[in-house]
Amino acid sequence: MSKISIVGVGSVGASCAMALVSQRRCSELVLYDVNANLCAGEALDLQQAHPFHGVNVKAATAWEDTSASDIVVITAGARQRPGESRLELNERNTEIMRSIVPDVVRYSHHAVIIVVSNPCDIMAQIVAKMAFLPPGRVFGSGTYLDSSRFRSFAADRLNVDAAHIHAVICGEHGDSSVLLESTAMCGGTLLSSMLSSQELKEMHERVISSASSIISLKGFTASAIGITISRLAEKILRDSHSVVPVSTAVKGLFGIEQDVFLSVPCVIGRLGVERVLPIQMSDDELAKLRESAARIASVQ
Amino acid sequence: MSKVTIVGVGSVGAACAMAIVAQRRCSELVLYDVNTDLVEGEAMDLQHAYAFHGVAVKAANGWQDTSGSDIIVITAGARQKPGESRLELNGRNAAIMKSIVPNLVMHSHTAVIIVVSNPCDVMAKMVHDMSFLPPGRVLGSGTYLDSSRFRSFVAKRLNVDPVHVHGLIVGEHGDSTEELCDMHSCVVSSAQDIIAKRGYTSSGIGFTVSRLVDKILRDSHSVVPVSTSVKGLFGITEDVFLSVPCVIGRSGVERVLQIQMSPEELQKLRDSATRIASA
Repeated sequence: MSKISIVGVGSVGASCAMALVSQRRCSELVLYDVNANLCAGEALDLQQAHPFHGVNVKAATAWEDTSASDIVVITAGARQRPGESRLELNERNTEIMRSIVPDVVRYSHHAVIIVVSNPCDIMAQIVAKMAFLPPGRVFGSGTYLDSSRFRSFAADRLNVDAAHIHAVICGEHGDSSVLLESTAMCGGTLLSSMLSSQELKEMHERVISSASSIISLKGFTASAIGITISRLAEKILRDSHSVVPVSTAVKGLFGIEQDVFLSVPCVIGRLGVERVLPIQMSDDELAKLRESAARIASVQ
Repeated sequence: MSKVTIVGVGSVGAACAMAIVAQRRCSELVLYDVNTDLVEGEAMDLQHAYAFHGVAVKAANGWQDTSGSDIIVITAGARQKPGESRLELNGRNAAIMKSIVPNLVMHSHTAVIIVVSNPCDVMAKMVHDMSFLPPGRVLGSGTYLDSSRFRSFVAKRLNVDPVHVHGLIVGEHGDSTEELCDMHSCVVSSAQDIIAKRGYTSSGIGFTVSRLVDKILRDSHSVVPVSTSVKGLFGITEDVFLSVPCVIGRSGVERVLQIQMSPEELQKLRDSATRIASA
């Protein structure tokens, strides 16, 4: 039926695996990690509940085991050391990706590659450039999680089902993300007519600081991103043409001149990002998006 | 709709939470842990994907937040150390249960309580004795996971869908069930295997608990090997809990199926009971 590989089984990779398996998104799941014991342990733990979920889970002993994947989720990457500049971090991450991407693509050249490793937008572009795959095949999980967080907060505040809160956070998966307030809706009604600008801004700020809040409480974030990836996997495999904010190449779009990846509303399907929706933004939102692009470019 | 509370959000509790949320087994999930930062972080991490899964997840600020639970999953307790047998955890966990059970029952006296903490059978009986709830309301996850492991191994060996492999492991969730074959010994050592490789087990049990939650809430009358009171059954004379095929539903274990066993299997089951009683 369908095969997914996850590269890197730290807390994020393991959570992606757990979500994918519990929601039965594929028939085969392969886990790859340089730590062979950890990888074997994770795979065994999942496989032993096989009668309950029906997904074949294996630990890869070589890149060959990942061959013919429909989707590859990359969570591997270096964590920023204290005092390390972003440039230095980028160099270390580039090395790591160089040891991963060519092998992934050699064995699964039809795959859609989802990059989760942070800094997500920069990593997504690094992977895309190394992959030599058609445009759209590689994208970053980007602000899909950020948007989910915002929708959850708004739903809680308004006591409305989050499924009926439509709001996009785009731009950098980070400090310069942009809330598209002008199109944020609750059941067809503008959110800005229900909540003050200040309150929306505070909600957005809560989204930006979410990761560090959770990290300070439990040490890492994993569950929400795991469920997010599982949802993306389903939309891709079902060729759903869903519209989701994920990180893709945006040079030439929305007046952006820099060659960067950042999140904008994308139509995704079996081949990854099919096209970007030219969503209407206010002048203010457009300016912020371009600032976000400039910020990402300055760090590359 | 339905409310589930998980007590203890270490790796097992967190995995149960993840599985229950991902599989949307309830409408409300409350997490309780003495480590308030950890429980808040875990709840937040799950709640941030609320738009995707629709389960309202909260960290409990006090026992009253757990009130009105339909199911309570107890995972609190110390983690099994590499090489440590499950029965050796006993003393450490007893004190923990004393601080938990009366509070839980006070606030959710109609709940079904699933005990996961190891040693599972001993803990389940302990919780049951402290709870003063009707028989069947407290059960241990027992050998439901062991049976799943066995079925996976056999399915792989025979290249058959494990759904169609019906194999039962009963008795103690632990070391005492004697090896019937290589595959069974794999089951007995599998937890140690995963712990040695990765530090702890969590995903497997997470799925197991999620599945139990579903069967209970749906009043499914499913037959599952879970840990229940067996004194007087199968010729067992000791007052212990261990896993036998149980029919479970909305109020927990409804009855035990009087499954046919060979004389050898019966003897091993009684040996298992004796071993648990001696711990």
